[in-house]
Amino acid sequence: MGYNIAMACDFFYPQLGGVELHIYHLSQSLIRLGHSVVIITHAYGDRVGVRHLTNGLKVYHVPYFVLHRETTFPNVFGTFPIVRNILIREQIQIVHSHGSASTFSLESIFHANTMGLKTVFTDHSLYGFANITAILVNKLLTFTLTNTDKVICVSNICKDNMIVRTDISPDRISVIPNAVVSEDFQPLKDRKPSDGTITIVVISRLYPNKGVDILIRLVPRICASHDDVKFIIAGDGPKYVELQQMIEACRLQERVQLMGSVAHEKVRDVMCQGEIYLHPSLTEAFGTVLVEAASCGLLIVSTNVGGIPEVLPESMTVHAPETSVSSLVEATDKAIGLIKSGKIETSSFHQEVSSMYNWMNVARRTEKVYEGVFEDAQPRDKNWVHMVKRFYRRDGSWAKHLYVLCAIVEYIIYIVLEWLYPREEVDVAPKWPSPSKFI
Amino acid sequence: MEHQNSVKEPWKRLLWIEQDYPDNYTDPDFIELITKLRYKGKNAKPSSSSSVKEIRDNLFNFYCKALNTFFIYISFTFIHQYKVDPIPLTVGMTIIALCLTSAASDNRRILNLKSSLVITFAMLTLSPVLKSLSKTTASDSIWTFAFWLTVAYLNSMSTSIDSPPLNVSTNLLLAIVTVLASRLDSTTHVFCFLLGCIQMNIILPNFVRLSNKYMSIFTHICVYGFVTTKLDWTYTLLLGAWAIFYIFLLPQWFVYWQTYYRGYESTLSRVWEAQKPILE
Repeated sequence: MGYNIAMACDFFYPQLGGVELHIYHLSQSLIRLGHSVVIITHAYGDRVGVRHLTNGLKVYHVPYFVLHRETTFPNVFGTFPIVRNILIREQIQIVHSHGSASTFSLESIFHANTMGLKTVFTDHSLYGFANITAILVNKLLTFTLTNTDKVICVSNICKDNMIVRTDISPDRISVIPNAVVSEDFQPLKDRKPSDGTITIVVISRLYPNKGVDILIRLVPRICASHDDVKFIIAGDGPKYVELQQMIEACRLQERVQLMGSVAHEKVRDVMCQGEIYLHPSLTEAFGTVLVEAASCGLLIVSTNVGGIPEVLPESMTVHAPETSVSSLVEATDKAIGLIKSGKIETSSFHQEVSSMYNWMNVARRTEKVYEGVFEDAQPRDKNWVHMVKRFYRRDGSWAKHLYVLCAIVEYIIYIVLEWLYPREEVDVAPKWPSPSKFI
Repeated sequence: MEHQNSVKEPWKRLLWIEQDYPDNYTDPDFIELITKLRYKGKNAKPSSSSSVKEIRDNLFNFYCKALNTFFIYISFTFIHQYKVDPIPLTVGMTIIALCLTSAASDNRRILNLKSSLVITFAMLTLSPVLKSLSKTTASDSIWTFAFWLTVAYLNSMSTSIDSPPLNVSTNLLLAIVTVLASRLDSTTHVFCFLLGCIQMNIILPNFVRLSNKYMSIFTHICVYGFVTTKLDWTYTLLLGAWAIFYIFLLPQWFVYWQTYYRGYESTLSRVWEAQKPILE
């Protein structure tokens, strides 16, 4: 018997990114395991209402005011009527939300807890404590996760971060990594015999926290010391112009190719043009792109920040111990030497990576978390009085009173909604037949 | 049976291998680390006086910059209200400014001289325009406008000692002068007012540290003297009380907050925040 699961997040198709693809692939794999999954997200342009994707994956695009970078306007209660309606209509048992910067996901969890449903939250990124965005997000998350049953983090460092940020018991947090569709990231079958040049690929959004400043200083140094090295840099962002200036100032037009942003389905083709993948990022919760590059048979040169050391075995990577230019130059030199001398065999990478990370494995482990939610459930978990008590025990004196106030208002709204739009009058949506029946 | 006999592999902090541990297994080293830090965080003493001093220095520097902006209004009041001739004062200040800049190296001095000539001539051409620009606007609107621009100007200034003024704050300063200029009597007055304000607020802070002893005593005497004689001593009292709160109480309060409320996270935070790139 499968569960009825709702994935809630601001970020979903047509936008493409790590979180979006994670939700999509996880949902597809869960459907294959016999569960029923719907996705709740906000409307993107004219993509409003209900849409169906492969295998009857139903997506609710809720029309809502988008505030900043596809995140909707946070107001705690605003989404309650529509989310409640969807959850009843789809007979949802588990609400699984993604991403702490997403209003939809946090509010959906709060509403689901009020309605007595089980809740799971997955976090995909790392947050600090010293800037105003991080403080706000952490407070919001502390509030939301108070009554959430289980939390999933994508790496151990992400879990550590979560423990400190929200102070929830470590055994409620599971670590389940991301995965890649390894069929989409295959190395070239008929690789042309190498003419001795080595191509270094960088695919990254060109933001300061991705280490573009290091890259700008590294490229000329590598080009000066190796005549047979070329660069392909794909991605767009505020640092694009600086890269362009560097290329012109150092006259590297022949050796550095700037591609601008690349569609996700083209990433593999770009990666396959190179031998080495360079990742100068300054922060990373997981680093899916590293796994993708390794799957394409590239040797990885990377900084050693965040979750990066956990993701791939030493044999596939050359780590720079510091986030400094010279340290990364050294690592790149070492990688170039390894490739030139033929000491490293990258053709086996694809097979190895596909056995390490696949979505079915992620889905099975997530399924275990869902089972755990029901097994560990206490009758008092979703009792309003107990939930308010738990809110009151959280955080500082200002925050906890605000939390309690929000919770009580939410319960009042719930009662009003039950009276205005009675449960019985909400039509139940017929479920798409599970594909597992046909296999 | 075999499972029980063999010793369980120790847990590794890796994602790419399947381990014989549940997914919610927690790194014991990390638990130990945060338990220690939490314990330490609760017993932390207020941090050393050096950090209070550091914060106070920054705040004091900002306070001096803020006092310095009073000179815009002081000179404006004297020119506008008391019809004092601004020419001798401006000439005197220009000479002082020239003396200060002459300390630089030869090359630099010529460059300075050139650019100051260009700016001076630009201001000469602009003065009649500035004088008539907001002539038709009611005086009340001008005062309100100037007040809010001053608030914005104060907000745009940085508190740190060594950073050069931002473009935004220079532009805001010019905007204040522009709106006030239309209330003056003649083009000469506008020119002198503009020149004086630029010298006081842009050129001077580049050569003299406003928070140094003599400079700040001078500024205090001027500003507090002006407020007492032209307004009332109650205003002086108000200003003084605010200054004392700002310079003495606020840093203490901040450090107290940092030690008791921000907690142990701050010591850990470098692990998760984006690392600083080392660009040598």
